[in-house]
Formats: sequence, C-alpha cells, structure tokens
Amino acid sequence: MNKKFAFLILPFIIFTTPLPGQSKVTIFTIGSYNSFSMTDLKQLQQELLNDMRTTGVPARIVESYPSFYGFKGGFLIPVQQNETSLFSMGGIAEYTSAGGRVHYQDYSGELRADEIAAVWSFGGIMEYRTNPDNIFCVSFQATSRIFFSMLKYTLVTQVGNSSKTQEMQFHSLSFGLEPGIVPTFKCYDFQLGLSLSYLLFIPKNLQFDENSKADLRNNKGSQVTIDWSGYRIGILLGYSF
Amino acid sequence: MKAQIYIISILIAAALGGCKYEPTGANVQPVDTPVNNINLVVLDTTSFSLLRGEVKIAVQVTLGGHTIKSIEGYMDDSPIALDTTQPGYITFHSEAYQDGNYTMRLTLYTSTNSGSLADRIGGEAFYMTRYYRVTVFNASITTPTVSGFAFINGELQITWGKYTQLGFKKYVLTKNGSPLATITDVNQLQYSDTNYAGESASYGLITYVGSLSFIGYSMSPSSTIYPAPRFVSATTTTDNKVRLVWNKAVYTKGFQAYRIKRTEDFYNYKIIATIADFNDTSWIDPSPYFGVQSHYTIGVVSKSGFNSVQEGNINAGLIGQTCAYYSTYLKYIPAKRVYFQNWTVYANGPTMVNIGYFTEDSLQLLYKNQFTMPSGTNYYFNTISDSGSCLYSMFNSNGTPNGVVNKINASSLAIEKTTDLWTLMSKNKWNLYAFSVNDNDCLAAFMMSNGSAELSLFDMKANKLIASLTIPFEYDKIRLSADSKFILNGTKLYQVTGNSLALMGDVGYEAEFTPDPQYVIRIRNRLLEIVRCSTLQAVKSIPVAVDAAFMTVDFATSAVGLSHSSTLQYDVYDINTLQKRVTIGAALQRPVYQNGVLYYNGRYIRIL
Repeated sequence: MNKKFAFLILPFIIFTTPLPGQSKVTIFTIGSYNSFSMTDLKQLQQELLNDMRTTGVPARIVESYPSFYGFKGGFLIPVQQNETSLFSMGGIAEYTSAGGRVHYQDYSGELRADEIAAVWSFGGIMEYRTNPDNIFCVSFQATSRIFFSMLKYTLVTQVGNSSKTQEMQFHSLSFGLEPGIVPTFKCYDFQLGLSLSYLLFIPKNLQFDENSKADLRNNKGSQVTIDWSGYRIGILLGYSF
Repeated sequence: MKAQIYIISILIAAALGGCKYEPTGANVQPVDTPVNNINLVVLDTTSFSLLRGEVKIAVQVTLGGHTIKSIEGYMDDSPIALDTTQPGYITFHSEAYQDGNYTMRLTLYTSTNSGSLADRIGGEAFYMTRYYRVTVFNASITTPTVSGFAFINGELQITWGKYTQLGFKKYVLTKNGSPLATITDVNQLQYSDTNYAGESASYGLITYVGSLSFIGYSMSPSSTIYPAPRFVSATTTTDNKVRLVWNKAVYTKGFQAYRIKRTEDFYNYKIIATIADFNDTSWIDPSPYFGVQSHYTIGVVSKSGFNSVQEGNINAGLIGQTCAYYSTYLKYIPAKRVYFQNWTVYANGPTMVNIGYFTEDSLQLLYKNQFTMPSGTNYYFNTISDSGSCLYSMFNSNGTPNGVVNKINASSLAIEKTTDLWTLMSKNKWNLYAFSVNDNDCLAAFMMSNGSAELSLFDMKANKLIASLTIPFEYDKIRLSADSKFILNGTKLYQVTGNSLALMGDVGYEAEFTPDPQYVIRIRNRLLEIVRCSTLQAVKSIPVAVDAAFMTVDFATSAVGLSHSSTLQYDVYDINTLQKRVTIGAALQRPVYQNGVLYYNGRYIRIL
C-alpha cells in the first residue's frame, strides 16, 4: 500500500517543484457533471429488483447511477514556459457521488433499496497550455488519482407503522487516469474554462466495512466492482498569483 | 485574508454538499384500499356460554372474497388451542381450564388480497374480533330435585333444592312430564300450581346448565302428590247414624265438591253424598248399615273433572245400641213386656247355662237363673210359649241319647218338673233334638235315631202323647202353632188331627206361623206369601228382591223382617198386608227382629 502510494505521488512531487524565476501559481476548482459506468452495481440493482418481483412486489428501478455533480480542486505550478506554451504540474482532489434506487410504495407501505456511492480521489495533475498569454487559450490536462470509494446500501421496509431498515457499507481503493481539455478565458489573473474529460477508472471490488474478508458479490457469486469511469464536463475557475 | 479564506471554505463546503447524491425517485402505485367485510359470529351463543368437555362451537365465517389465515382464541389473556379443522365449527376442550368465568376472545384473520405491499409480504390482514363471556364448568353436576309440597292459600306450592354450581340457566318445572313453569331466577325455589285440583301429579325439575339440560327428577315419593281430604272422625250417633268430620281440602282453586263413598265389604264403593260447599266439613250418614262396620272415603271432585286419586278414609263404629244379646235364643213376650233369652257360659269347669228376662227397651237383664250342664251332656235347648206361660228346657248328648225335658217355672226360672218323653212314647232311644211349646202346655218334639226322625206332640199338662209320626230326616227346626193343630218342621208343614199327625206339604225352610195360627208366612221363589195351612194355598203374595232370606216374625208389631245377605238390606213388612214398612242397610246373618227392634251381634236398633 505504501509503495503504491509513493509511486503515485512521486510524479506529483517532481513536476510541481517550482522553476527558478517563475512565480505564477494557479489554483483552480472545477464543478463538473459526471457520468458513471457502474456496470456491476447496475447489474446488482437489477438482481435486487428481480428478487423483489419474485416475492410479488412490483418494484421498479427508479434511479440507477445517473450522471451527477462532482467537485474538484487543485493547483498548478508552472514548470516550463515559453511564448507559445506553458507546462504546469500540480495536485488535485475530487469528490463525487452517485447512486440508485429500487422502489415500491402504495398505501400500505414502502420498499426502498438505496445504493449511494461516493468517492474521494487525490492525485497529481499535468497541464499543457497553448498561448498562455492570450485571453483565450486551450489547456490539455491529465490527472492520475487514487480513489477511495464508499458504497452504502440501505434497505427500508415500512409496512403500516412498522419500519425496518438494513444498512451495509462497503469500501474500495483504486486508481484512475483522467485526461481532458480545457478551453480557457483569462482576464487578468482570473481564468474561466470549460473542462471536458474522461475518467478511466480501474474497477475494484467492494469490501464489507465490518469484515475485511467479505466483499460484495452478485447472485452468481462474482465480485461486484465499483466503476467510476465516465465523461466529465465542468466549469473551471482559476486564479493565478 | 481570513475573511477570504472563510468565504472560500464555505463555498467549497457548499460545493461538496451539492455533490452528495441523494436518491429521490419513487414508484408509487395506486392500489385501492381494501374493504374489510369479513365477519365471525358464534351461531349458538347459548351453547357457547357454558363450556364443558369437548365443545363444538358452531360459527359462521364470512370471508367476502378474502382468504382465511387463522382463527385465534384467547381465554382472558391466555392463548388457547382451537381446532378449526372441521368447517363451521371450532372445537374447544374445557378440561385444560379451571372452572370459572372467562372472557373468550375469538379473532378471525384473513388476507386482504389487495395486492398491496403489505398484502404481498403477508404483513396486511383483516381481522374480526368477538368477545364472549363463557363459563368453564368441568365439575360433576348435581341437580336439585323437587323436595316438598305444601298447600298455601289453597294452592299447591312445590319447592325444590337450589342449584349451587356454575352455569345456571333456568329451572323448568314439569308436571306429569310436561313443562309447567320456567324459572330463570336461581334463587326462586318454589312455585304455586294454581290449577292443581287434587289429581295425581308428578312434579319434576329440570335444571338447565348452559345449553345442557340435566333432568333431575326426584325419585322419592314426594315427587308425586296425592293430597287427600283427611277424616277427623266417624262417630255413631244415638239415633244410629254416622257423623263424619273431615278437614277442609287443601286445594281450593279447582274445588267443585266433596264426594263421600261408603262400602261394607271394601270392594263395592258407592257414592252416598256430594257436598258442594268447600267449607262444609261434616256430614251425617243417615243410613249406615247395621251389623257391619261401614268404611268411608272422601275425595274431591275438581272443576276440571279430575277426581282426587287419593281419598281420605275412615272406619266408622258399629251402629246400634249395645245390649245383652245372645244369639242362642231370643224371644219377646208381649204379655210380660220382657225378652227371654238363654245363653251359655263357657268357663273353667262345667258349662253353665243361663236363662233370664230382659227389659224390652234396652235388653237389660232383669232376672236370670243359671244351671250347670250335667256331666255327659253337651247340648242344651229351651223354648218358651208366646205368652211366656210355658217354658221348657233340655240337656242332651249326641253320644248318650235321652228324651228328658224340664219344665221351668216362668217366674222363678227354676226347674219345676222333669219329664222323660220316652216314657210317654211307645218308642224310646230316640234322641231329642228340639221342641216347641205353646201356651196350652203342648210340646212338639223332634227326635232322631239312625237317620230317621220322629215328630211327636205331647200334652204336657196331661202328661201324654197326642200324636206321633216317623218322618224322613229333616232339619231340627220345629214350630208348634198356638192352637196345636199344625207343626212346622224343617221345610214341612204337618197337621194334627185327633191322635194323628199328617204331612201337609212343603212350605220351605223360611216359614213361620202368623199370629193367626191358621196361616204361615213364607218366602220362596222370590215371593213373600201368606199361606193357609189347611190348603197350603197362598192367600197373599208380594214379590221380593231375593229368593233366600232370613225371616223373623214379630207378633208384637205384626211384622216380619227379612234379611237379605246378598242385597245388604233388611226389610220389614206388615204381616197382614205384606206392605213394606221400612228398609235399612244391614249385613246380617240371621238376625232377630222382635218388638220392632232388630238384634244382631250384641247390638240392636229400633227400626219400626
């Protein structure tokens, strides 16, 4: 674990070391709208739906890991600059979440199976910017991050005045790369850009919080992985100082 | 700078909060709320109220299209095991519970079949709950019985024991097996049968416990009642009647009349009186039978037609005045206005023979004389003439025949003269059995020897034999007419002509001379006749009810009395006109009617 972490953080340390004579450091945030692959979890949700219908409950999947918002924040330190380009390196962190719901409700009660997945990721970022001195420029970014994923499964059965809630939580640790392009407008030291990227996530099985030897599996006994892969589109706000 | 950092932190936190996914989708289905139309009813709550042993509780379950899940039961708060396998019934066993009152709760559960989530997962059901007060009663049942009867204010009051166990429902009092009254108050232990009127009635008590009926007929005699009016007394009066006194009937509602019966033989009861007044408690029998004890019964005739089954009864005493009457021989002597009797006294030692005179009004002894029966004799006989002037006696023996007669002094009753009739006869060794004398001192004698009889007439004053005739065997009854011209012997009439004695013919055993010695009166062939002796032709005749009777001629009143043993009557006829003078009830075997008085077994009544 420690070796893997060191391998991931090493480029970040190297490339973010400030160059002599350069003083412009940029901090930025990206509010994004993300899509997610979540193939296994969607399949698991379908299995859950089938199980419910087997018991006669006409439940439906009302939400199945739809695209949702994410938030990134980071900084860039110029490493190499000339008149036509600027190469910077920095650090970045992101938080996003997704989920799904299988649901049935009538006058007599409600059956609700919620899955909420959330992830924190930390890593390094590299940026190559063209015409950095122009008002409009285009940046090419690539990040590599460590992902700390969490999945909370909640099954609520409420009949009449009686309610029963079952919760299970899982977690996983994984890695992902996210290349992207950011057209940016500059105004003095402020930057406003449109971030377009795709996260290439390495799916990973989900371990049960209460027992590290247990993990989440489907009806066939196969491990269920969480997969945050997907497109991101967002608004970048930056400030250089 | 701090403010900027603070603002930025807030913005970041807000941004992170906005990125936290919360599912909001919903799948709400419009399922109609089902209608609860199920029902559970115990059909027979009567039988359900008391639980004893295995009880099959009939129930009606209305499901209304729903599906039954279960029927649960509770006794108070404890669940009970119910057997619901038999459709329409819930089977309950009471043995598992102590006797007492419980609240039984029955709940019917069914599915709703609504299709709702709760219905699909089995969490939705309809239920219907009923509560019943029940009594568990396992102990053996002791039912009360009718315990007594009493008459209060003229009504029959029936009482019974109290039911003291659980589950009382009602008493049903039955009369002769049919319900008479239903009493739902366990503490009411009596009932008045206002319609009771003396009939035979059996009262039973059925005690209903819950729905179960336990019949508790009393097997003791007290369950059947035969109330009878009770006689207090049956007193003979001086005028030879019987005064009956009784207690009032105990029931008045249905009273119609008292009914009094009488019998002399305990078989043939005859109604002799009906008294309609309830308050009458005495009645005088104007014509009790003479010579026999009368047995009376009293009952009640009800308005409804019942006759009291049980009747009060009592035996009256003998009517008539007691007197010194002896059946051997009794004759009234009108000239002396006394009775003559003889009688024998048997005691230790020799047998004593008494003769004496008695008063004419009450047969009290006036004077007597006593003789010792001679040794070797066992037969005594005497007779006295109509005026009492001639009196003879004899002692005789069947083993040692003799013909001795003693003439008794009519005043002193001492032996005046002894005559051996054998000495006056050509024959001897004929044993003297009976004789008859008249006021002329003539004596007709009846003797027998070796199966033959000798009928002789003596002139005792002249001490000679007048006539004699050997006749076939005959009864020893012998009568000599006052004029010494006719002799009745047995069933035959003989005529004396000079020194000859001739058979006139058969007149029957019950025949006597009338005051006029030319006639005899007899009863034969259901006729009472006066027959002329010389011709044996009836000069007067009337029909009578019977063929055989005991006849007595009373010269003092010119009457003849007939005792009919079969009709239990004693009739007195005028001996001249044969008109009936009087009839009384009597059961007499050869009584004596003299001087208007009827004598029998030590008692007499004047009936003229």
